[in-house]
Amino acid sequence: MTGGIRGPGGRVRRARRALLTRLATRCLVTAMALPQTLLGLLEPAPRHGYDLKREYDARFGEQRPVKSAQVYATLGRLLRDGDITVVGTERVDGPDRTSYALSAEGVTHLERWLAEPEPSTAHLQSEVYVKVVLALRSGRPAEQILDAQRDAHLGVMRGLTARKRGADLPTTLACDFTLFHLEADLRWIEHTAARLHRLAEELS
Amino acid sequence: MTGPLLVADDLHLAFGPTRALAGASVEVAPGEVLALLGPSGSGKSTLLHCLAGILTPDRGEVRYRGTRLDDRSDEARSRLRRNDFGFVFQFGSLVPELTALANVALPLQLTGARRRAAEEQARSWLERLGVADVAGKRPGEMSGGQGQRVAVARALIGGPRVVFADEPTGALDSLNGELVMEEFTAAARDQGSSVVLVTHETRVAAYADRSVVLRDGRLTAAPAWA
Amino acid sequence: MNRPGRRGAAVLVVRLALTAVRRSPLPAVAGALVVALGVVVLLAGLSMHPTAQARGAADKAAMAGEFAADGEPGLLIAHSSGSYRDRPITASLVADTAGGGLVPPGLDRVPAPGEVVLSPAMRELWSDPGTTLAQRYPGRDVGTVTRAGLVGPGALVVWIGVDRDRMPETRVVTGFGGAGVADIADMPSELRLAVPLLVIGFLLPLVALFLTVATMGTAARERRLAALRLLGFSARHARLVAALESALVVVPGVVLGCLVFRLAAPVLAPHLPVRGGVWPDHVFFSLPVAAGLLVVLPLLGTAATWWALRRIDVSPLGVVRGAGDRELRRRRLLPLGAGCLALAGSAAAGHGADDVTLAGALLLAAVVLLLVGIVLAAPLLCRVAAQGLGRVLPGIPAQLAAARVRRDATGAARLVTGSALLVFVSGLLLSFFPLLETGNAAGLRALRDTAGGNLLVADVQLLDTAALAELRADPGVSGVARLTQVQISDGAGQGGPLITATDCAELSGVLPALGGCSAGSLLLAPADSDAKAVPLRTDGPLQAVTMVESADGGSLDTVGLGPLTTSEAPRTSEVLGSLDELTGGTIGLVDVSALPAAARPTAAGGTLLVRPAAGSAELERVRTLLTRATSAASVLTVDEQVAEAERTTQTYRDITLAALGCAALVGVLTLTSTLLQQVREHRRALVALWMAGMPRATVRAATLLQSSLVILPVVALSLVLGLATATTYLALADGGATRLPWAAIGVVAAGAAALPLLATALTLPALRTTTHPQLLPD
Ligand SMILES: Nc1ncnc2c1ncn2[C@@H]1O[C@H](COP(=O)(O)OP(=O)(O)O)[C@@H](O)[C@H]1O
Ligand SMILES: [Mg+2]
Repeated sequence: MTGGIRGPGGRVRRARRALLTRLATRCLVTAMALPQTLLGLLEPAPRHGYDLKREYDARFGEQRPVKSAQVYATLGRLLRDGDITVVGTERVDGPDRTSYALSAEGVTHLERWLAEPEPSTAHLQSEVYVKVVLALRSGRPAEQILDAQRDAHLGVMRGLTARKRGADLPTTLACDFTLFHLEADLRWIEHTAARLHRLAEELS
Repeated sequence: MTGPLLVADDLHLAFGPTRALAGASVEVAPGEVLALLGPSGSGKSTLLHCLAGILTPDRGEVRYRGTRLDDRSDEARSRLRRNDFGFVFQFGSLVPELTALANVALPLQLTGARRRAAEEQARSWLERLGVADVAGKRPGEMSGGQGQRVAVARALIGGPRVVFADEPTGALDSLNGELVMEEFTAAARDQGSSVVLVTHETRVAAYADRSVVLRDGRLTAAPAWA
Repeated sequence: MNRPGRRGAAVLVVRLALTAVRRSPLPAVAGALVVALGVVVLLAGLSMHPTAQARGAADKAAMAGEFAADGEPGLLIAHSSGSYRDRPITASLVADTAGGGLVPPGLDRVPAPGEVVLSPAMRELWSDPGTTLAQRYPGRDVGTVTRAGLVGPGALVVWIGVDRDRMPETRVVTGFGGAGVADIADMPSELRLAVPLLVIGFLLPLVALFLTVATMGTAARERRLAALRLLGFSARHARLVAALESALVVVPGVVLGCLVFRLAAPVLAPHLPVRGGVWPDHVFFSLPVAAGLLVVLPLLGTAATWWALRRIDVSPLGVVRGAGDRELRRRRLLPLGAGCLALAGSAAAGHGADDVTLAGALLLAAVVLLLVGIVLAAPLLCRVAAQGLGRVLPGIPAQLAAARVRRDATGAARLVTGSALLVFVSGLLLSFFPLLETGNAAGLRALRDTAGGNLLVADVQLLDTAALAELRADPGVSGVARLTQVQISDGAGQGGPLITATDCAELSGVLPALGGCSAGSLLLAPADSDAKAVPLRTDGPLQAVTMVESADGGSLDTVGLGPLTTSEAPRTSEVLGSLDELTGGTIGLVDVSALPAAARPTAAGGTLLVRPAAGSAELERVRTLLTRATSAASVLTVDEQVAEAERTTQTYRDITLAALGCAALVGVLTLTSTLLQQVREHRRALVALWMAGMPRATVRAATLLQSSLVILPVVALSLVLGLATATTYLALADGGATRLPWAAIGVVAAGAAALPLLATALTLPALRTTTHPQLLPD
């Protein structure tokens, strides 16, 4: 089931993509939270945009690094809103580098974001569900769809579990996040598989 | 040795009216960690016991290193358990009267090692699994996680070719379960032991190299496009 | 393939077993103690026979055994039995005829007239003036009877030197012991069949006990064995460990039991409540027997464990019991049915037939079949009872109890098998009692019934009138009467039957139940009684036959009796008949006033009856007075005479009761340990119940009810079967003339039913420690 993918609908591309990539992104900070994330990264000390992108990628962007343009655009918006201020510009054999720092307003916004629970999203009409329903209606083996989905999920989980081996704690926890979500998906698959007959009956 | 280490071929086994296995087939490659997944009551444990020669299937055969296992004598199968197999079950299956150290040393002693040498080795295994401090305690005096680590140490100490684990983390919370699984699979891989891992938890199964799913005593069909 | 080194494995196995015992020492220690107790009981039982033989031999060695004609040198000896506060006294009069140098065993010389030689225990009593024994056996204390002359250290023995003229005995003793002494107290033939039963009744609970101990701690053991199986122990190996573990409990138990018996028996022997106590070295502790036990009992335990574990498959996954209740087939009822058939066959074959060989064989077969049958049928019966009662009885405890019994009927029946067999066997054993009572002591018992047990009886050797007067005046005496025998004749010939002469007034004081005896009366036993075999015409004048002494010997003379009122009173015939025991078969009673002076009793002869005052605590003083007044050898109450006559019977009875008592004790121990074990094994279920909100009281009630569900039907069954067998046996033995001792059998059955309940109650406190939430995870 791909319904577990969280994030604002507009940001999630519904186009058919490599399943693994899509699933893996779920553990990342979605673009929606990029402004707040940057505020958080700026909090300890002022730094410039490139620095921020590097740290963001190192910490959260494992599967899908953030684009530099995105970072700079976001920083511009934050500057406009008064959440950050420019504290200096330096040039080190290359382009100009502007350092930003958190404003008092920025701290307030950051804290509010941190304190606010994320809305949970439900995706009953997930693609797998749609596939299962369609398969049942057309008399195709719906079980195999679920089995295939489970295999794929398990493959991803094995990959993530292998990654965790010997990894540092931040990586481990990031992987765990995905693993637990995948596990939830798999549970849904199990429950559905166990009641496929009834589903078929009720659909017909 | 090439080819599968352990093969179950079309196993059937009924307990009275209950059909626990209905044509289960599975292969375990040398050094492979294989997870048997499935809802409870699907016959996972029964399949594991058949593979380990503890239960004898009504029909079908189990082959270990190319020769049949299910028709060997109790004596021969006991010898296999002693020399080639290791076990980790949900509730430790440690000897309740013995200390952790004595429990871990037991397989070595059973295969003829001297007590002192066996205990020395047992101690290093306990250290490796991070439970050296419970060496003197008995199973009733340990936490579940410690008990399972001791059980893992006991299963692995003899360098078995196959370790059978039935819900090894079933009695543990998920964090402890993962820690035990991590140590367990790492140690098993280190010494090249195959592992047959029965679980109903996918996160635990993810520690395996391969998973198969049991339902109603039979493995689910391999998806055509996998 | 690296096989475990055999020695290494053995060492490991021993270590595992030892660890198991060390880890939970309580069951092991309790088991060993129970075995030790059982061994003590067993050794006591085994030493009973040799001890009895040794005592018999000691008795025999001290008895006159070789005799010579009058005139040869030797000893004149008259043994007599006395009594002091229920302790029998052996008093022997002795006179040396010619200083032949013969000395009775245990004495260093023959006491001269006026001297006594006392055993140590006797001296203690004798020298205490309160006992009056010094007056009863007067003389100068000149020596001590040593070991050779005593059956036990506490035996009361006194040798009294007398003038040879005063010796009633004329045979000259020239040796002691040897073949001349008749075997004493041989077993009555009625008891021959009882002996195997006694052995069974004695051994059954013991065997049950050992088996219980051997299979104790099963649950923990099964877990341990399963864990070992997983590690590669073969099934045989696992059973070996189990057998070894049971040996680890049984062997120390046996050793401890032997040790305790070895050390305690010599200390306790002198204080045993048998005649004179027992010399320590008469208690046989034979090393071969102990060694035999040391081999046999662990073997038995090992075999039991092996057998118990054979029936179940100790798989690496735990213990898979044989399909449990499904195994309880109707087949199990076959031996019981066959036993009942054999019993019925025996009753039919014995009915009215002269030859009871077939009936006897059938009966024996029935006993064996029933013993086996009860054991086999018990689980089935328990289950049926549980099913029925579970449906009938209301309430959760009943439901729970019924469910538990149904689930493990075999285990439940184990609880009651011992008791059931005990009831069955003791029913049989007790049925021998009435048979015995038809034996030799019947006349004395009749006398006791009519005259009362406290009547003192003394044969008059030589009447001391002064002492007699003192006796009559004694406040502890309510009546004194003398019975003498006179030959009477109706004139048809010189010979005539004997009649008892007495002072009717005095006799009525002693025997108020005797009516119709007054001055000048002649009471004749009823015509149909045996005593009147010699016809006597009472319509004519009667004469008393007297001895007339003259220089050339004696001659008989007849003297006419005075006026007589003759009556043949049936009302008094019973008392009259019972007096036979004292008068030796006379045809009746005549008042002494009717006798002519020549026929009046002289100073010697006859019997003196003394009725102690009701509730007199001074029996012994009265006895002493009576002894002095009559010079009697034996002065015993009727009760004491009955006991003396029934000594063998009594011994049998004592042994039986002791064996039953031991069996009951051992049975309770067995039961308690079985129950405790069951509680331990079920404790997780108990905790679960308790956690689910069931009050402890309900759990307890269910436990008690569970025991009763099992016990009552099975005990009832064995009671019925035991009674049926006993009735059949009695019918064979004496044509059904004897009645069963219902009361005794009822008591045994009630006890057998109550003991398991008691044992259950004893384990109830264990439930408290069991229902503790900490036990929930294992
Ligand atoms: N010893 C047994 N006796 C009777 N039924 C059993 C026994 N062992 C397992 N079963 C039954 O066989 C089926 C499969 O059991 P099992 O292999 O333990 O399942 P799993 O381990 O997948 O939960 C279940 O329906 C179970 O009730
Ligand atoms: Mg299972």
